[in-house]
Amino acid sequence: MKKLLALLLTFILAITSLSLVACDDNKDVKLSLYAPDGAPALSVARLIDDKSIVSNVEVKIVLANTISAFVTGEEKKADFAILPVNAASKMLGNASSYKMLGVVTNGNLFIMGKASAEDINKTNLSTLIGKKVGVINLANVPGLTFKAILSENEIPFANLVEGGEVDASKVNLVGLTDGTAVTPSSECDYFVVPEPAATTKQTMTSGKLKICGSLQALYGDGEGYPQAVLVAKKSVVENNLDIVKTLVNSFSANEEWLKSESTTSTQIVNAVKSGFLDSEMAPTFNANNLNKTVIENCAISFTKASEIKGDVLEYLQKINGVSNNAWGTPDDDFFYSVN
Amino acid sequence: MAIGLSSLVFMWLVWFIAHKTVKNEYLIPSLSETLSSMVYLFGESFFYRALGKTLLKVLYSFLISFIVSGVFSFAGKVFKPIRAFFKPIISVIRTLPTMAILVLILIYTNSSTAPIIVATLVLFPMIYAQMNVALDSIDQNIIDATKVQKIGKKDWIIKVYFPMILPSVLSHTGSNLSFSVKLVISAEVMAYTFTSLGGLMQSANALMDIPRLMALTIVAIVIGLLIELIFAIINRFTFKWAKNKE
Repeated sequence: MKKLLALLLTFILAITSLSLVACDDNKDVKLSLYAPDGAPALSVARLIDDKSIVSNVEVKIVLANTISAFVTGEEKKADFAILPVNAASKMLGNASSYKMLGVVTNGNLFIMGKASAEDINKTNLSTLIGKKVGVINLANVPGLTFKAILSENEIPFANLVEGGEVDASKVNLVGLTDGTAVTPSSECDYFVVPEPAATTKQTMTSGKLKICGSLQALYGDGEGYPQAVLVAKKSVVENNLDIVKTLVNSFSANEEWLKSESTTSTQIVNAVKSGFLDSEMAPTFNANNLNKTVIENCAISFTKASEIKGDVLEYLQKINGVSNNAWGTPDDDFFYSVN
Repeated sequence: MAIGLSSLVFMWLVWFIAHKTVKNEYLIPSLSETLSSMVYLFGESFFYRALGKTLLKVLYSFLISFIVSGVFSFAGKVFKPIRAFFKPIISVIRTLPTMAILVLILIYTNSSTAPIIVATLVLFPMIYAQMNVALDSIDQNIIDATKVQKIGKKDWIIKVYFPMILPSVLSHTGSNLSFSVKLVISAEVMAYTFTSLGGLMQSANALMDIPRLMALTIVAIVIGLLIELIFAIINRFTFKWAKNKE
């Protein structure tokens, strides 16, 4: 009897030890999430502010144009990453290394015009014909999305070559490097500007430049478009699904936290800055240009991959149509359904 | 020739090692991908238009810098107070953070003119300083001889100063032009100049076509090297009298 009891207790002890070891493994797992500064960084600001929410995931904020370095190459540093949907499709769409978990931001591009400019909506897009429209980052998402909208609405457009004549029968697109060129005295009649620059420009020019349209309202059914997506390494999805689920489920609370009146701009800015990989990096947001309106305009809202797959494919098809299929089409495997 | 070739081999080796070490095609593409991208590039008519426009900008910025430098340096040599007056102005232009004010320049000009202005602002103080050094190094005996012969100021400049400094100025022209290529292309990238090598680089970067970006970079480097080589040859076979004198 004593021997039987001893054997039973040993067995129970062994099982308990094993389960504790398993718990320790999970506790010790440290995963990284890389996000570019800007609207994507806002979407994970709460996770930086309160590291206990998803304790296994460390968020690192990087320069927007360096995000690709963390998800490519032989040693991919990022276990999770937020990156533009077009870049994700091009670099990761074959699903060999990463899976898409969902869309994080849904467009933050606005049409600005001078004080007397007509507001632009779906019914009067033709107003832009014969005008010069300055687009910040013409060759990338802003320009591609705007071209896709014009193309969908059968509005002719062309890139305006320097020194070239304005074509009265087309929308003349001018590439701008950054927001500094967006001024009331510019030769451009309209501009395509991302937040927070759009709201800042409107405020700083005392209305001489105003927001008179939104690419989110002009695209498709007016509900925005998939702009930045969350991806996870295949190995992470296979081996740490519980952490993946915790992370994915945290996003809706992240949004609420951003919009809550009790969350100040300073708190959000400080949270994002404390997540900077390079502490010397100039931040996109500061207490002056971040407010609830800007947060609302950044359209931060997480939608799971399984629910938004069609929208992603449709968006990619449209921007591919105006860029010689530069971004490819992701495999079906790329979209991972987190239940 | 052999040393030059071994230098090229060395650079290729560095690239090869970097490519194998970094192991990321989005950061350092392979030579083969870059070369095939280059072949594709050479088949595009737009590339030649862009190249032509960039080279024109290089030429404009160099000519403007050269002519203005020549005028000011000769004037300063003949009338000393002029050189003293311009000294602080040249220092300001030399230390001006040109890329930082590029956006300001863009507001008042356009993406085609701005790169020329930026390159000129960098080149002008350099060429001005080179010309001053060349003028100051003219043999004093020659100057004394012209004074004895009572040569007029106009003849001084055209028949004495100008020929005397030409070998020195020419020896710097190749490197100045090559440097101008780098300046103009950098400014074109930032100014988003559409029909230009810089504009092509900007587009390649935006489309994440790194082999194409690398191919364009190599084209820019080769142009710079060719310019330096041409002027090295010109320099070698001209002004033998100056070299014999040395």
